Amino acid sequence: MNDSFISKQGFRELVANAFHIYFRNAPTLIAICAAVLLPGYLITDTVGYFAPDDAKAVQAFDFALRAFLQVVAELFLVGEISQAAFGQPTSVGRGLTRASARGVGRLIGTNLLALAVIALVVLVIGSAGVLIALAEHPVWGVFVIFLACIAFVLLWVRYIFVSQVVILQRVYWVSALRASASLVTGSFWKTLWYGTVFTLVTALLSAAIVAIPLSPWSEDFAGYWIVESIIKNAVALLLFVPISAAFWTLFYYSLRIESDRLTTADIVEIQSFGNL
Amino acid sequence: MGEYFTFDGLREIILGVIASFVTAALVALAGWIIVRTGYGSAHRNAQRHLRQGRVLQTAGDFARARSEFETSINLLREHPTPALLAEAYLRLGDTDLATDNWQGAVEHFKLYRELASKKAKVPEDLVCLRIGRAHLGLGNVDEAFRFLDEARRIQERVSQNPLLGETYVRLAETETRRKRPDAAREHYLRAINVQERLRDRRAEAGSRVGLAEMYVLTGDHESARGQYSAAARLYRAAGDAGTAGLIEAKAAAIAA
Repeated sequence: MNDSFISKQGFRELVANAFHIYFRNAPTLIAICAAVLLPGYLITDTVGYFAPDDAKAVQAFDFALRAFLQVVAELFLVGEISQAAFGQPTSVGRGLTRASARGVGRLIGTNLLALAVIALVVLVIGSAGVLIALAEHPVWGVFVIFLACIAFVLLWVRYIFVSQVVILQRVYWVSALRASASLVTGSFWKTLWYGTVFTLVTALLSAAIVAIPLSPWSEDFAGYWIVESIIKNAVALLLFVPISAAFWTLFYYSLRIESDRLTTADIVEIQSFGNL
Repeated sequence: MGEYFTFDGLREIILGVIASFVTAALVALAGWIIVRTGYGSAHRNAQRHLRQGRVLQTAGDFARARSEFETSINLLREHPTPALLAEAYLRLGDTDLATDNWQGAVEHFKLYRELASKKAKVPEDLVCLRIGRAHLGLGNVDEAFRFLDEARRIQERVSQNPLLGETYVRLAETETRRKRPDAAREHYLRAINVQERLRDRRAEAGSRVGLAEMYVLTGDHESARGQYSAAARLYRAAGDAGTAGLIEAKAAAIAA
């Protein structure tokens, strides 16, 4: 018998159930993730390899584009994870075509809008902080940079459920940003606490796995960087991106139940039209 | 780290972030163009009508929603896209259910079933649930029970299935009309259990009202009053003071 995970859950339950969903549906989730992430990561790794080591623009480009690719992967994963959370079978084809049927541009565009808002606010405040620091006011500069960090955390928490909202509620653009922010209202500290702990733990585990020398070739081998890139991405991200998407999707349902925003009619609607 | 806190470092970071957003926007645009060129204008029009119909249906404007869904179906018949056509028939059937057009609902759900493919598939239990509801409306109580029981059977394969709340309520309504109060009570209690877990107060209140009415029919006025009072509290907690007042009046009438 399959289990349904649509209920109000605490942190430990969310993590345990995210892992449960991942292990029960690993081939499907990994295949969806690989189709979306591996080509993109190969591009960023290629750019990174050919760029000089001190090129900060390339590092920033690489960081932002990787964050964006993870968001896109989450978009493709959310529908199938929702299926798994309802105890239903999952499928790679349906996971990839669902996003196409809803309009890839609109789905990615909505997430890009959320990332752009975060990047714009943080860059503007952060740049002001750096400029103040450079103008011989280091204390004020650090304070403004600290404000930029607070702005980042605030916006990150508010827009954390945009992928779930666009796929499961079929709401787009500014409405999706509002829906995500409204879901978090009243549970801000809980979302921040859960999100921070989960993100830190997965980041540490991911870094630990990436640090293991897995490539069978030495660093002198000409194609070492590409082999290393594929292995690291495959191990760290194909494992952690699906678990992370599962955690946030289960948390999305849990918060909707907690805030009395998930009715029986909503569940029938999600399950009826979620696969079309 | 200090090298980032210079004019050049800052400029490079900003440039890198802007470049990544431009690249991402190009990826989104490419995806949009690829998907868009895969479909004709008829498909896009059908999709637009379907979306419009969905908005109208949510707003409760069923007459205009029906017209949008029918337009979408006409376009999709000429240029078939199974997933969209399936959704259009289901939405039209749901509109029929909402407007008590039971016969129309049965027909549209049957049409959906005829074209349902592996790719465009609504879970069978939810189709059975809808057909069962339509038959219940038509007064075909045995036929309704057959479909609803099939939905229950499929849904009970998943433990703690939240969809069972709706199915148990419909089964309870069917059993009440089949003059089987014990079975109806069982289904109502199971529905309440699922709805409590989901914190769906309005649905739980509805189930408690149904249970109370069933108790009234069997002459158990004390239990009926208790269920009415619980339902009124739930309606009030859900912010529906009007309905809560009506239910409290019913509870008071029984007490009198």
